Amino acid sequence: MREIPHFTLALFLGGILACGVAREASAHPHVWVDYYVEAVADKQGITKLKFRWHFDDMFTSMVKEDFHIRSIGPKEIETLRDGAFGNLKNYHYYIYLKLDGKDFEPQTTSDFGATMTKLNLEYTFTVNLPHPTRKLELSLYDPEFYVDVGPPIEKMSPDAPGIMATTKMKPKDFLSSSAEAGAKPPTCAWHQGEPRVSATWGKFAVFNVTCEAQ
Amino acid sequence: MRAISIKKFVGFIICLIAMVVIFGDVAFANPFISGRPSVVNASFMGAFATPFLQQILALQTHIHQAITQRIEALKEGQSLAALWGLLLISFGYGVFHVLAPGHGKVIVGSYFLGNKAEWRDGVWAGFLMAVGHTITAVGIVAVLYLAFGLGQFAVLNDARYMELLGYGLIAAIGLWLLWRALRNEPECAKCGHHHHGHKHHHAEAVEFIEEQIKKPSTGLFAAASLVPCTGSMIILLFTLANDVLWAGILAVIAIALGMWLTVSAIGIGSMLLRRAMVGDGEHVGRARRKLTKVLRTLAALIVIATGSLLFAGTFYSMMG
Repeated sequence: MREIPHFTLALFLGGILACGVAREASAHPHVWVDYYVEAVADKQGITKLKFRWHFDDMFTSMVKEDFHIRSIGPKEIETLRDGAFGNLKNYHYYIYLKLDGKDFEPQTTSDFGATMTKLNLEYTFTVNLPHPTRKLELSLYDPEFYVDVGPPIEKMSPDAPGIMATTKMKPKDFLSSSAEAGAKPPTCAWHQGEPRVSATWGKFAVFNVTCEAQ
Repeated sequence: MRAISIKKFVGFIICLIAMVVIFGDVAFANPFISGRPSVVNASFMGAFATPFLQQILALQTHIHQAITQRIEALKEGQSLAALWGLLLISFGYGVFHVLAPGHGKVIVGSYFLGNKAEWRDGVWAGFLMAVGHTITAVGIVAVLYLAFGLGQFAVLNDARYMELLGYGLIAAIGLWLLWRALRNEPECAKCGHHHHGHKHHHAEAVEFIEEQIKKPSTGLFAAASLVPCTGSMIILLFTLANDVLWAGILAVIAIALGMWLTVSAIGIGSMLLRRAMVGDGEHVGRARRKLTKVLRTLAALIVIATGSLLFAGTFYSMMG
């Protein structure tokens, strides 16, 4: 019976290795989203976040063809909302929020809209906060990395592919804020966030946004 | 050495199924259209350093943009520079897959760790995977999209049946490899290097291929290449939408060539690792024989676990 320890060890190592592999096999993003966000405040605090999602050319091309979209009107917006957006509810739209220190994952959105340029589809929608908030923290990511969602990154020149070109990433101009009459717009800033743990990949960093009501 | 009993083997398979049910939870559906999040949190993957992952993601974004822009440039004006750029980047994409390992490399790596082989077996493995990969991607797009007229998301979704088939075959061949390993049967029963008595007029290459086809590894690598690569299919669909399908096919071939390079290198690498551990001569001595058996068993286990976990993951995501 001296073979048993070897056998058990082999089973254990093989299992660990294969689990890792299984996780990683799904780790290629196939949809890319640049997000832009506007924080809106009233006199009590921040009340909603208006998002704009800018899609990559390939996803746009697929949506255009599959949903038979040439130009966008009210009918197309409804089609897209039901067919190529609604299911994200299951993923709480990849939005992770902390409202005055408390976690919040949105279950609904409002004001869904869509526009189409020649190459790129864009969605707009609003997340209404459950209560006016003095300070919020926001980050967007897909822990499974099927969708690479994040702020637009400055200068990703396609003419110099390679690891060298990707050493430092910096988001650009994706934050704005506004206020209803009589209130002041909140101040927003981004920073490299705390590393998070993904089921697929382990630790990774995201860009976090902090907004404070004035 | 005692060969394993059927009872033990069945016990092992039950353990394996339990493991698959627990861990096999990988989502592949496009979340915009369908699917639910994967809930298992495998914290042992936490070893990955943050900057490394950030680099890989940035690099993937980069490659994606570069490929997209070259295809769009080709649609506009057929520039030769754009074509070369596309092929070069696609080749790099194929090579680069090693940083985010798919199942193929793991299977080749573990097989050559566990079984005695020569360097050209590794090259053969890479070749099989590269060719199979291209045929699968082009075939699925041709049949589902062009012949059956399915939508693009539906093509990617239905390609998962092919994935299921590939993973199932991998797991089945893995079980067979394990069975043979545990019973101390020779790695390949039909092929041997001892029948050089009668001279035949085959070229050496033909003889090599004939020999290879008899091996279980060829079935294994062929099964692995049945699993379609979503990235390649998306490129093909995008070139179709831009009326430059020919460029898409060339790009997929370039990806396959890149993969050939990487897969061969991994095969040869694990072959060398094996030689360092057990040597490549006849395995004499009890300790060495034992180590050989452990390696062989381990290789089969990795193959089984990879195939069955991915099978279960794909199956679950299709149910959801």
